[in-house]
Amino acid sequence: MSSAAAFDTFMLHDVAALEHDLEPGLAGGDPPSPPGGGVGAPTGGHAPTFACDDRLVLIIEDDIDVRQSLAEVLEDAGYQVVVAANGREGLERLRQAPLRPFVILLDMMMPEMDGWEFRQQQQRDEELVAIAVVVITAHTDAGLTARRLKAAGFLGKPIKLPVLLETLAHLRPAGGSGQG
Amino acid sequence: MRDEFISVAAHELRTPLTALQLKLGGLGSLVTRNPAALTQDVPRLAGRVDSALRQVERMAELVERLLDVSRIEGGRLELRRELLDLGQLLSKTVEDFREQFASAGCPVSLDILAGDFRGYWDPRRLEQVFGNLFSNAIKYGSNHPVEVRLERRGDEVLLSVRDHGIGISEEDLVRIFSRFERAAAPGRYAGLGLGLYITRHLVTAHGGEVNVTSTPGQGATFQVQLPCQTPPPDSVGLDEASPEAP
Repeated sequence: MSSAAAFDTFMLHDVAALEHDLEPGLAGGDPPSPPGGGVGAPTGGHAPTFACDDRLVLIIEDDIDVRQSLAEVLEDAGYQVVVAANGREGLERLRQAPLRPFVILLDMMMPEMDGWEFRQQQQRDEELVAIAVVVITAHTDAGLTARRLKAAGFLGKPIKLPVLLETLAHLRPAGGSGQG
Repeated sequence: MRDEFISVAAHELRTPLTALQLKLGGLGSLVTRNPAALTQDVPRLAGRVDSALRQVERMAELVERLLDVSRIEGGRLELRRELLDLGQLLSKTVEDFREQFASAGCPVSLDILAGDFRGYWDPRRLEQVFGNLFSNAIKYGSNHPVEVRLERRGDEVLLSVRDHGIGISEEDLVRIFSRFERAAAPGRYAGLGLGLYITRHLVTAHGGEVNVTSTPGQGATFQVQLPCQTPPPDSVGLDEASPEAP
């Protein structure tokens, strides 16, 4: 059971190390997006074409109780939250919203459009590709899934509140650069 | 199979556990960081506690389903038959599921044809059968209508639950009543994969049958036939003496 704790989360700097072992990915030659610098810098170095809200979080999770619990604790912590019940709804929310979230909490097992397909579509969309994704899953291979998806991190279910908040705090752009 | 089962069961338990952990974590930090909030918005707080309790119920329900499998496998599934009106039980169960149907975007219609639906059945177990069929219709037929129909035909009661969801291919129809089997693509639908397995056993224990027809892409219809006649108290090995029976 001792390995379970290791699955709780890993942070952005861990991905930086990991991505050297993976095929060249979405960030092209750029280093993996550090907090504060990643948003709006997709492949090719285009200028950001959208605004990112450093308090806005998108939760994509099919289980209504988990979705509501996540929304509740994040709102308590001062975040603004948009929710979606599957990948297709998640893409809709992203494309409709005037402001983009700085992070997407992404469940994997979902009807209609699962986390894998959502991530593929997100990576194909130049406007959405730079938004950090944190995989949330009940499977024990959460870390592997996150690496394959080139996610910024992962949270293994059940999710500890302090770990969740710490993960988001690290990814929040304002926390790194003071960018407003 | 055993490993796979444990893995699926663990995964399913982690979902309510996640909600519970977040709920309690959130309440805990409210208590320590902002004690005044505890008295400021009592209804909201009470709602959060209720919701945490609901997660405990979800887990208890999962544990019950796991125990059902153990009871079925060990031949220890007992029915507690009593005189009941299946029409009433069905209406009540539809009502209990109305919120779930609504939140899945499934308009539900209940059609109880004229007839006598009284018989000696186990109300808790048949409610479980109805619930399993409704849950499946919701899970695989979200955003489409669901039609529930009950009719008396000779000595039998016929229940059908029809959805207009993803449907089931011909090759999958034979295996969906087996343990841990499901027709849907793996990785998209949560659940133990035990609902139809348990359903079939509960219906069979009542002397009935459950069948399914489907057109892939257009939905599925599950039909349950239950014999109406009162069985002698000890005619079925699975029976337990029913204290309620006159």
